[in-house]
Amino acid sequence: MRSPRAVFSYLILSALSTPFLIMYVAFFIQAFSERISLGILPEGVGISNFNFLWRPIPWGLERTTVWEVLRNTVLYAGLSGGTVTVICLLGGYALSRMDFKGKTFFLSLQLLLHAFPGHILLIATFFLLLYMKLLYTIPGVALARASIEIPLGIMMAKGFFDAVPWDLERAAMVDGCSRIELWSKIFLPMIGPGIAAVFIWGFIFAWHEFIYVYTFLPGTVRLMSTLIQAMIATETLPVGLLAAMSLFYMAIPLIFFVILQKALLKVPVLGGKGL
Amino acid sequence: MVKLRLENLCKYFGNVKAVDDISLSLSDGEFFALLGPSGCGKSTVLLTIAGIYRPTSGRIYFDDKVVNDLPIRDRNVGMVFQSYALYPHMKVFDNVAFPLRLKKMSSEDIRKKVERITEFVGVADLLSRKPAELSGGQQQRVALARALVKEPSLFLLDEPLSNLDAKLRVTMRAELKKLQKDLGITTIYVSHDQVEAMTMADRVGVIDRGRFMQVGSADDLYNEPENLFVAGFIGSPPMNLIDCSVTVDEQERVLLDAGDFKLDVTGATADLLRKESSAEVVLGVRPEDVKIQPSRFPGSMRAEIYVIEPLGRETLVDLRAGNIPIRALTRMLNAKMKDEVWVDFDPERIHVFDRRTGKVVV
Repeated sequence: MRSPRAVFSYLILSALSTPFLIMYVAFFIQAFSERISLGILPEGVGISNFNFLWRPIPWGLERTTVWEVLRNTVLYAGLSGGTVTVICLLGGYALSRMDFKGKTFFLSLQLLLHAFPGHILLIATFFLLLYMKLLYTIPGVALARASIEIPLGIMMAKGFFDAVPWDLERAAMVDGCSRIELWSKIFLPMIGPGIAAVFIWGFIFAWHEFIYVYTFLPGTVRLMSTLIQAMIATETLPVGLLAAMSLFYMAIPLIFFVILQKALLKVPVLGGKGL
Repeated sequence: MVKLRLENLCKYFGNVKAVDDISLSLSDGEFFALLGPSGCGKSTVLLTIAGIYRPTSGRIYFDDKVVNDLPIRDRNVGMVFQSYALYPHMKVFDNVAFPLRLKKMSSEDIRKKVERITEFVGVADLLSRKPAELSGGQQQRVALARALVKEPSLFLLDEPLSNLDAKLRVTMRAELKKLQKDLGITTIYVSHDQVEAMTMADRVGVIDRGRFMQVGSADDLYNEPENLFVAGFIGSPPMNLIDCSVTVDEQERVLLDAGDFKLDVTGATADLLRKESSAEVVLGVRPEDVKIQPSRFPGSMRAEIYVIEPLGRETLVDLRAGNIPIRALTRMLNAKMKDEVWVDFDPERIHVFDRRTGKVVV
């Protein structure tokens, strides 16, 4: 017999989740229905909306397969996530374990930068990429997107590095490690889940990015987000196709998460007692 | 093997003087214990010698060469930490091999050395396990192996036995001592446990608040403490410390007046104290130097038994002479709580300390 308190909590939670549930369920239904009448009512069940998986996409003048788009998106998000990871792991270590002038200022700056909406800098970033000759390239967008996530990524990484006990570091120093060896042979293996977390952070934000992708890539190169936008921009809204493609768009990171779940949950057990 | 010398070593963290003017000279192969209460700076001294901290001032010499600026990896120091600090993501073999791999030794040499040292400390059959799969005692041995595998000239241990259970601690004490003697490495052992320090070391340095209180052999510290701190710290159960004043009466007899009792002092002790008439002092007498008898004897004073603590081998008796608590250690006692007994202190074995400075007078 559940206590009335618990029942009440469940009611509130259900009420709050209902809009989201409706959205997801609607998506699902629309994706798997043959036709949509009156814009929202589904009719028939089928997978014809998922045609794009095995046929070139039928819109506009270009013909492109979704797999090529997917490949580019994964490339871009991976590159962005990778950049974030490398920079944050190096910077996080320095903030955690090294002392230098202006460290406190730097830390506060990161928080400030994170609060700052990077998209405002669209025009400035455009010119920056132009001068760096990275405009209209995937590495260019990846770099631009990564720069927005690095501030908080560094703080996250710092937190992970902070958790490594001092004694372990001291033991490695006495054993003869140089700074770089300390970082690569001792710290990195110990914060495995941390590395995954930072990478996912960068990857996910890059994956669902639209504005930067739209602005910094030419119309001929489509990533998933701009592809879906292009769907919407046509005269008749192919609701079913849209839903199907969006599901596809969502599925990839979801699968990614499930695979990385194991790595994320593995916490290193300390090699000693009393800590 | 190295001759270590510390010259006016200081390590300050901002305003905190963790290590304040420590000077020490160790001979080759000596086992030296740094003993003191928590937070006294002994670990800081160790870490500064290892090179993990840089001294604020003062010098560290390895064989008459100043090593203040020598990088840690060039100091050839082996260190064991209280938490063992084994690398959790590596197997035992890799943990022990780590220092050698950093030196870029050949795999064959590494394998030979690792096998030899793990055989020596007794973990040879655990090489493929990870630290989390080992018991505390096993982890400690692996930490020892890792510290010794590179054949260091200086061996530093930071309370390595603190996390072991009591019985294992006693066994490991003897083993560590034997190991050190067999290898002949200059060793510094940090501990807050005076039994450990006294039983294992050639010499002990007692530290309080970053300064040496006394340095000497276990016997010296036990029988001739130079100040109140050392007197009260060394010895278990601890020395009785009773506030008194020195009085000289009309017959030129020297007395230590503790209020509730007066102790007659004779001989050389009396001569030394005669000059300090009316000085405020602290009388120190170890529990085993307190004589208890059930009936009155010459020179004794009356006391009442407060608590009896049987220890098996001997009995610890908590007495009250008036309001003054006195602990006594005796072989056999057929008495009960609240019994009246008569006590005296062995005159050859009392210590007198200046109450203000803490320094020993006699």
